[in-house]
Amino acid sequence: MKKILSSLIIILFLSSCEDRFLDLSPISQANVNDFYKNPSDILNGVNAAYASLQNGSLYGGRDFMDMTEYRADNTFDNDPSANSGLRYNVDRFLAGSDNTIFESVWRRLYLTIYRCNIVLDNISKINMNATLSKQYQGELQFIRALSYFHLVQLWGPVPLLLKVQTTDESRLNVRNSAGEIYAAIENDLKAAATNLPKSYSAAELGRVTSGAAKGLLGKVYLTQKKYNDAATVLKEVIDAGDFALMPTIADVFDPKKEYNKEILFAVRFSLVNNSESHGLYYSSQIGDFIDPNLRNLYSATDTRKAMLDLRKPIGTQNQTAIKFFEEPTNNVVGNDFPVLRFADVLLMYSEALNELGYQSAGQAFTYLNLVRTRAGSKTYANTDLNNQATFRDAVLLERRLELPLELHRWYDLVRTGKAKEALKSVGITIQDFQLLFPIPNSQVQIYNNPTGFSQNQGY
Amino acid sequence: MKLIRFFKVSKGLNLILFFFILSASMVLAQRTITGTVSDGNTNEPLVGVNIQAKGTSIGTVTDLNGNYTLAISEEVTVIVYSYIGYLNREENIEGRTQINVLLDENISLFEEVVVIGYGQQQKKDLTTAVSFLSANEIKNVPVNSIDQILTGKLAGVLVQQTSGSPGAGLSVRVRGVGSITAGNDPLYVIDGIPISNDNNRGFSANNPGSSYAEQPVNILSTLNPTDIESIQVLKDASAAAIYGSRGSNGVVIITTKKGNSGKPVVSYNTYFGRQETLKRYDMLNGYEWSLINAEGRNNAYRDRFPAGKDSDDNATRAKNVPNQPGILIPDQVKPYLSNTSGLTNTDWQDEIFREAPIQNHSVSISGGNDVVKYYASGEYMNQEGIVISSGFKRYSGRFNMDVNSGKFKAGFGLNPTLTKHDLVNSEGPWFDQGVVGLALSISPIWPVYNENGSYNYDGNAWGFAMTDFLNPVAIANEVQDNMDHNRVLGNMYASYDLLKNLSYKMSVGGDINNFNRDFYRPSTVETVGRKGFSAPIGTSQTRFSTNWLVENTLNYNTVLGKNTFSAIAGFSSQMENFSSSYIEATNYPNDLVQTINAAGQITAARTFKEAWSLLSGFGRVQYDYANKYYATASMRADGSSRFGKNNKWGYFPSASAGWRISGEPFMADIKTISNLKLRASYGITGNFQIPNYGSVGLLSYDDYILGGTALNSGLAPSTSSNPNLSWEKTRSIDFGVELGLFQDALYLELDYYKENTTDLLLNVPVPLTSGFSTELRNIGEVENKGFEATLTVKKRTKDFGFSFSANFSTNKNKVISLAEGVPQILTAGGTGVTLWITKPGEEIGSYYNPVYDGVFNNQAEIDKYPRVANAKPGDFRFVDVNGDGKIDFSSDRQIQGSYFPDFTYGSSINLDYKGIDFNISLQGSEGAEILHLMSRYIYNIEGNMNLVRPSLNRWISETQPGDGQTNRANRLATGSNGQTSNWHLDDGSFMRIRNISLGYSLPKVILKKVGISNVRAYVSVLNPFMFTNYIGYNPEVNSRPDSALNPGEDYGSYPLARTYSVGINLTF
Repeated sequence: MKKILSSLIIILFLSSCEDRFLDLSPISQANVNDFYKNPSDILNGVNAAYASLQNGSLYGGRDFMDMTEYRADNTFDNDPSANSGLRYNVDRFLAGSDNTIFESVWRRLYLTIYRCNIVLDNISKINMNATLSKQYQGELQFIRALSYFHLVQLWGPVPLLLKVQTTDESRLNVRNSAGEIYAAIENDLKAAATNLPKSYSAAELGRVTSGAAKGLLGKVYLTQKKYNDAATVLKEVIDAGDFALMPTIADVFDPKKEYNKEILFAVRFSLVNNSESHGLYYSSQIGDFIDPNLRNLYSATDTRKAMLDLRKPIGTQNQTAIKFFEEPTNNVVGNDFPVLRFADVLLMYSEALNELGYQSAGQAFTYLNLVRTRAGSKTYANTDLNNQATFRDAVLLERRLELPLELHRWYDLVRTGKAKEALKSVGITIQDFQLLFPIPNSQVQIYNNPTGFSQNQGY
Repeated sequence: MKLIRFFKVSKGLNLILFFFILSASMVLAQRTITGTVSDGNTNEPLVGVNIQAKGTSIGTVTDLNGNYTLAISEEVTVIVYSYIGYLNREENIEGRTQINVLLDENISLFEEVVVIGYGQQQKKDLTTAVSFLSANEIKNVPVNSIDQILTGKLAGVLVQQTSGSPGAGLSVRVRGVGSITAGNDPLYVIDGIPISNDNNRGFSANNPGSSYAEQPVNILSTLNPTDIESIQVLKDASAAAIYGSRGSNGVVIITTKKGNSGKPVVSYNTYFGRQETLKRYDMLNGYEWSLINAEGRNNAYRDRFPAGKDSDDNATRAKNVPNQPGILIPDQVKPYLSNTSGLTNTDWQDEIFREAPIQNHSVSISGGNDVVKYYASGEYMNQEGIVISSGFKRYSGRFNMDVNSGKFKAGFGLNPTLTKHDLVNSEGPWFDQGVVGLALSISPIWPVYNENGSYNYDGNAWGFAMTDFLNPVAIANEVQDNMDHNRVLGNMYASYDLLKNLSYKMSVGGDINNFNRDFYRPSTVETVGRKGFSAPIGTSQTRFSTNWLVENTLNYNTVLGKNTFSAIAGFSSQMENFSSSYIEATNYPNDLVQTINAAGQITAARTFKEAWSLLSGFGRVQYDYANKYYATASMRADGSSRFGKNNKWGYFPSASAGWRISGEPFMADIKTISNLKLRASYGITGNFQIPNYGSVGLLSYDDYILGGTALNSGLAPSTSSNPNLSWEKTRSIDFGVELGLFQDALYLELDYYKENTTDLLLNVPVPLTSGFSTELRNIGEVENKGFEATLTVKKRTKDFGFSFSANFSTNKNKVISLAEGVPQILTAGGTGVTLWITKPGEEIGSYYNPVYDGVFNNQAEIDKYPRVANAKPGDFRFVDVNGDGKIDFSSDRQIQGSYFPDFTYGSSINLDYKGIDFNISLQGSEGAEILHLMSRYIYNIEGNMNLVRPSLNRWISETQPGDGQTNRANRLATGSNGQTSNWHLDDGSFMRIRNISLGYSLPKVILKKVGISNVRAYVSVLNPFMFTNYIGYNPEVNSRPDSALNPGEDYGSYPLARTYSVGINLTF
């Protein structure tokens, strides 16, 4: 009898209340099931893709610099004891596949791609303003292309994903060829160049423009040695007149003149909001982190030399180059990180033209000299650079002088085949396999697929 | 629809109830029994003895003179007399109307009443593994929370004090660690109310602006230890299965004191104590340190410029090796090198530690009559911390009342508390401004104060490639961090006897917690690496949680001849709601007003809400035949909001059986054996401690700046969804033997158990290309098996009492399997190069680091062995574990033990003679390894921070190799000596005298005249001695007590205290 009674009560209570009592949705956190349903969700998704670039593993911190700048000959890590040489080892080519910096950058690049893919997968399902939809797609295509461009340059063949996968699907990924990846990058950037507007309102400043997409496409062509295509698209950027050189190099990096006329694309930061700030770039108190040879390469009148002078924020022993200096509040700063700027475009165009054929009075000289003139350096006459090879060296040198610390040097050295030579000059001997980085060890293990997903040779 | 059904059914229900009440009130013929109950030894009358007609719920208690009157029906034949601390006694009425009874004092554990889930049982009837501790053992120990008393007392219950911070939580692990990522804390049940574990996370869990987790707040720190009647720990799955999805980490049942009938008893307990650090580091003084500092720089200099001489001045050095401040001798160090006497030589440990007072006052009044009983208490406790500026205060009250009006019983307990935590960042690493870490790291050549009285910050932004240190005294004193915790814990019940052996009970419980925390970092505390006044930061946080429980149970008991049945069935619903807020602000015009309203700019503001719910039905049947054969079966069904749509419900059955061999006729002749019992149990329990919304893919904000400084909100998935997410299930089996000899004067209990946890909730690594790094899944299996022994010896004569108890436990933890495609889980700790491994066949979270094997004494040795690229004589020699001829820290690693001890033990001795009592207890742990990560800094011989004394044994040259185990001094270290290896592991074995106390009670004869029933004065020392080889403060340290994957790291921690105290217990 009592059993019946107790079971009655249990059955009664449980069945009547269970559904609403036990189904509790998150109160303060949005959940995936209800998201990507309207244009503002899409906008939030697009913004998050940009925000991914701000991360400390990419343009907001040191790890990315370790791989693309310290690795080359412009800068040095002088502290073998910090974190058991975690960064030092990357700089000196001692790091193995377990070095956590590699995983950190790999993770963030794929996370950025995921953020692009998930919005691109959903955007077509939403009824919204067609122009806006195109713009959002273009922005995401650019960010995705930029991420893959880094991946393929750093690691060579990597998995190519243009749609969101389930975690089970992702276990089956293999390394796609560099050719496939470059093709996807080109597709994205071509689409972005069509989809994106030339400019934005002041409040939207910082979003990707069609010019930025073309500029990056030019760089992608150049890297693949598709000089014709590169020259064509870069010329379009130059002729469009949307961008121009700032009067002085200092203006380009002035925190008060952020996102100026010279910037095609920069990752944006702000000191006003704590979560949008970053630490001082290249901050070091263990010696001078810039190669003294680089300093000596500047002519006496070159205004770019001063950009590499070191400066300490008030009261600190840490120092960084004037180029990226902003006086911190509570040890954080908010200056933007330029990804692509007009001087770079001019130098790329000049390089592409020279590769297509040396011309003693060609436009290649014009654009190279534009950059030198702005820097207060003597222009090159065709007698100074009287053949393709010397011109090629001059452009590479000019890129080194113009763009140090901007994360181009390692890529420039690999692209031009000068990496081994350049590193030798600073006392580091490397082998060919070291032009690519080791795939993060954790990933090789997780795929556990020696044929489809092997470690890069030599590591 | 459902509502209609409810009414229909409840109409029927009313009818049934009506029928029951009717039948129960058909009164049988009554008779009255009277008598007196007295102490068998002293013949003094006993007040408040429980008297019950056996097999019914009819009962009464004795009055002030030990007299009682009991009205019973004719069919009752036996009366049961029970009294705390005395043996139960049963009397056959046999027609008597006056029955006088003498009760014997209980020296046998076997007869004690043990509270189990939803009921209580005599120890002798238990068929499951339950450990318990009574009020007697709780008194006299000057600690702020009862779990500190549990330390070393109970077999199978590992209580580790991972931090000495007042009010910080202890790590309580019942029979090992079964879960990898879900919580491993036991379920606490206070007066029948299961309380939520989530409160111990306090809130935000971080120091403002810090990425290092603080030690959690202790959820038991609001309880007044003198209010506690008993603590029981349900260890095996069969005992805990009645708590279903929350039982797999064990259940700690805490029962508070209730009143006894009789005239009011007032007691006053107080103690005063002084605390000091139990153990300190042996650090170098300024002169010794300066020598190594300079030596490290000379070596770095000669590594770069071999022709250099130690005597080269800084100008020469800078010329030979430009732009490398690491090779220069800091100007401030030079006077120490020339041994100038009288220079600043600060012992920073002296500066941040202090002798700190602790005091406690507790008053209680209890009493009542046959119908109403009450217990009320008030307590004030004030503990200053041994780290300057830290402290803990508690104001608590309790009111317990019980009404017994025949068939109807009701009662409530109410426990309001206010605790005030004065917090200091003591757990954080030095680089996170943890004051303990800083005090060890900062150079002794700096004074605490400048001549003008302001704090000295010369250790900050010093230059010379020196690491920046803030003044720890300034941080402790000037940074304000206060947390108030307001809690109301209450319960209420009403029960009614529907039949003479069937009762219905409804309980309602509530736990309301309110935390308030204000933090302010003033401008006078410098920013790391930056001289001068800083920009002040203030934060204000709140957290509010309500937890309610409604529980309905039916209880049935019957005796049929030699068969005793009892059964319980019930359902309960419980829900918890949290809300929290966080505001961070800066731009304060000055340090005068430190609340947020004074700030010029709010830099972060957020609020957050969460909830969980749990719905359960449960039942248990217990049977015994002739007090010889026992069987119990129970079942619980739990449904929870925390689990995935497809797996909301879990079912947790258990069964156990016991055989009291000593009750058999063939044992009757063996007089030595007073008790012998075998028992076995099996059950399934679950683990509920996972995130509230773990099954749902969540989005997180990641905003971006566009235009000028405008924030544009961005949202992206941060966790993946898993609708199949379910409970972790623990299947456990337990065998026990209990043996009592010589009337239980010697009592031995042995247990063997094996627990297998499956469907582990694990954040499984997934390819990063998926956009996630991990995904929460149910996979794998972990096994814990172990052995527990408890021995108790008791002897009592008229004047002399002696008791001895000892316990011993082992637990072996082993991962059986992980997910497919997950051969192992590597987890980093405080640094990325420090790894723990979790893989099949090994313990959860084993240390996994490169192997160090002495130092290279010369170049010839270096050339002979595989080595890291820039190794020089005096650097560490690492072992080429995989034998591939090169040192590669990704593969040359080895498992090097774990934080889990091989065995733990505890023991205590109590003696009393006439009025004098003496107690000593000890505890120990053997075989645990601690990763002393602080060695990477204060033992690195780089001279960039202060060093521990063994650094003097460093390698200096081939002819002066030191102890051959310590690397050479080098500011710009070579040879990867800082790579975490077994060199940083330390033996965490220890033996600690836990407490010594000596008390004296005044003779009762004298006291009676002044109307006082008891006065006792005592002195005690908590933690008088500790024997350990561990280098740090506390061999139980654990930087991340909530994480099973990477335990046992010491990154600077609050030391343990030794406490001397005197106290008085007064009873009127």
